[in-house]
Amino acid sequence: MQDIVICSVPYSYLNYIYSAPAILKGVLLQNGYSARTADFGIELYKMCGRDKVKFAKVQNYFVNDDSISNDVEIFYQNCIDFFKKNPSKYIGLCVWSVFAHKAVYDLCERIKKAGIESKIIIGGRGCKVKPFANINQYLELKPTEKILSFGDFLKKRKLINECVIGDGEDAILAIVSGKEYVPDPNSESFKYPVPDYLDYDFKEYFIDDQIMLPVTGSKGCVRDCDFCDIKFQFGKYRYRSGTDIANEMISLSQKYNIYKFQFTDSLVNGGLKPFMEFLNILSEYNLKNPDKQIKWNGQYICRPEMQIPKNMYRLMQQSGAHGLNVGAESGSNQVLTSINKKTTVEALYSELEQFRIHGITCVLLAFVGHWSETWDDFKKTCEMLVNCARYARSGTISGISLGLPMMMLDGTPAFAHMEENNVQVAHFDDNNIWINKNNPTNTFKERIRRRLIVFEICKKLNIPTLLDYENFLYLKTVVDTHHEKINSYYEDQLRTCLTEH
Amino acid sequence: MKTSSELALQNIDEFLLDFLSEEIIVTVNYESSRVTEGSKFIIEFNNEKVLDKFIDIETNSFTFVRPKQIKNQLTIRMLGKKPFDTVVQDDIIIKDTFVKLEHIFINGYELKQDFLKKNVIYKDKNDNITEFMSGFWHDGCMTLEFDWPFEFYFNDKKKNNYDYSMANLTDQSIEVLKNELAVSLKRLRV
Repeated sequence: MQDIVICSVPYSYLNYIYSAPAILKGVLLQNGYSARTADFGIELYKMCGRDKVKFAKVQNYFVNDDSISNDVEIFYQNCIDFFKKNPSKYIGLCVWSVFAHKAVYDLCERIKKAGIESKIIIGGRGCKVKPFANINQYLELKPTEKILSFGDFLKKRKLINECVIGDGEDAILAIVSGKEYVPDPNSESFKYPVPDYLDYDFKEYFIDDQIMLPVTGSKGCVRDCDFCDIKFQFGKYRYRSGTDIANEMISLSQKYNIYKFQFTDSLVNGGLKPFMEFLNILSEYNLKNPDKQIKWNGQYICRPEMQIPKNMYRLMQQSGAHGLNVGAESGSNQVLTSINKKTTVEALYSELEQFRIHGITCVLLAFVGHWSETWDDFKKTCEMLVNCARYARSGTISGISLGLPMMMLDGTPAFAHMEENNVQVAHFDDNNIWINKNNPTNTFKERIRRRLIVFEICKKLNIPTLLDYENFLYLKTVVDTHHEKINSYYEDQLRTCLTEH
Repeated sequence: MKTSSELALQNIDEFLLDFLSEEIIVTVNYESSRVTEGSKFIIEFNNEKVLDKFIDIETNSFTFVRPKQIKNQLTIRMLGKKPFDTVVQDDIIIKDTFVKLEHIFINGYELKQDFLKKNVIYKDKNDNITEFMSGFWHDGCMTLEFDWPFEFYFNDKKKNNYDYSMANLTDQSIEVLKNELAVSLKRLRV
């Protein structure tokens, strides 16, 4: 019997290898425990015959209010069979975000029903926040349950034994050894052994047909954008030394013969000192090993030009930077200020120009319908897309992810400051259905229209976009399921706005 | 009454016109050299000479701005090179008169070799169409004709990167779903 089986669950993005199970396995093995990992997202993808459209449709169940399909039932049964074939003292389930809530809930329930006696541990960013809107509908939560964190909610329903909030690396050791874990809130750095990916079937993941290994260089963020819950989840920004990260990448590349890496960090350039240290080591390694050059990508924040160290772009290029995810968010500086982004659209253009000069590619992340976004602000985002088309043509921008329209998510500053921003959410779906009474034309319907407009702009200008299918499917299901409630909600709210004015 | 977003969705081309420049901004970065004086480097835009200069030894950049026309023509030419403007010693050119085009930008878009090869007409001094070269080592000219808005023209001609977006989902499956979403959206009143 294994000590622990650690699994990631859908909703899954197949161009992303979930590293948490491998990191925890590495920690456990180093300390003399046995462990294995499983990616149930990949198992579901295989079950869908590796058909990406079918996979997107089946997965929609996990993030929406679709009724359970036969495919999902079979998938769950396969997971239970896996647990029976791989008995363990503990089962670890990764709740990487609210999008994993439904699968984790269903699996916990089925593990109990199947009489599997393993203790269940959950951990990840989705544990600390309230149950996702679709869970409320699905399980008809009581008001007292709706205000609990997802971890506490599962504990209350006696579905789990332990919930790890924050770092799992030390907590997992404490749990399997029966000790109490006390996190150190003042720690500025962290370290862990080389992750163990031996249970992963790398060939199943697709990113330009090349596998990327995940690597974590920091936790938390130096910014506090209002749509993002990173600060709430991780607290203080902590980072590993540039040498430590570079050594892990070199060691993993030699072990698995994989030379592409994807940082799981919220940002790779949060600390410029470790970032420059990392760039210098990898640049030197790449110059000395032309046949085994490492490439890496990750999330990257724009900084004003004066903050950029000399030679940084050249070193980024030499160290193998490519496909960096840059949060552009909006083309309106007013919206960027409301987001608390601490950057401007002009800084984005300046950064893109440097990327173009140095041959560094990137993917932009943007979204529409921020609570402060007026029609004029939205037009500035459209203008930004037009200005970005030239970088798509030069190859600098590989793609733009236009995402879902603004969601009000528990744990984000936007959610915490709803009252002062005059934002009100609907009780039946507090993520999607909300109104800013100072900007009342920004309704859910308007946000979907804006999402469709930016899609059409990108199509017209041949700007590559990502995940449109998944986004449209999600939005369509919300509309189809709740249209009557949505209509009543907005009609009531707009009536109140008119009365108030 | 239709909202701004409804109108924009109905006619995305017209909506986009608001964001496109009414002007055409052309930048030519070049490197040139000469043996004797007298050869000329000329840039014409819509039949107007915007640059007419004697070729010199330099690395330079030239930018001009002109109001848009629906049909536009950019012509770059070299004139007046003489046989002794190419100096050969032991079968090796040791000195030459030439203009090498390093970069051409129109409205911020870089017109790279692959685009120019497919879309410009390159002619020699006898007005015969010849293979494209990224500059002039003999008398000749290159002409690019393009429509306004340049952004529509160029992004339609050059679609590099575009496949990336599909992540192996076809355009068609996204289009079908997008249309279904648009139909669902009609269920919402506000």
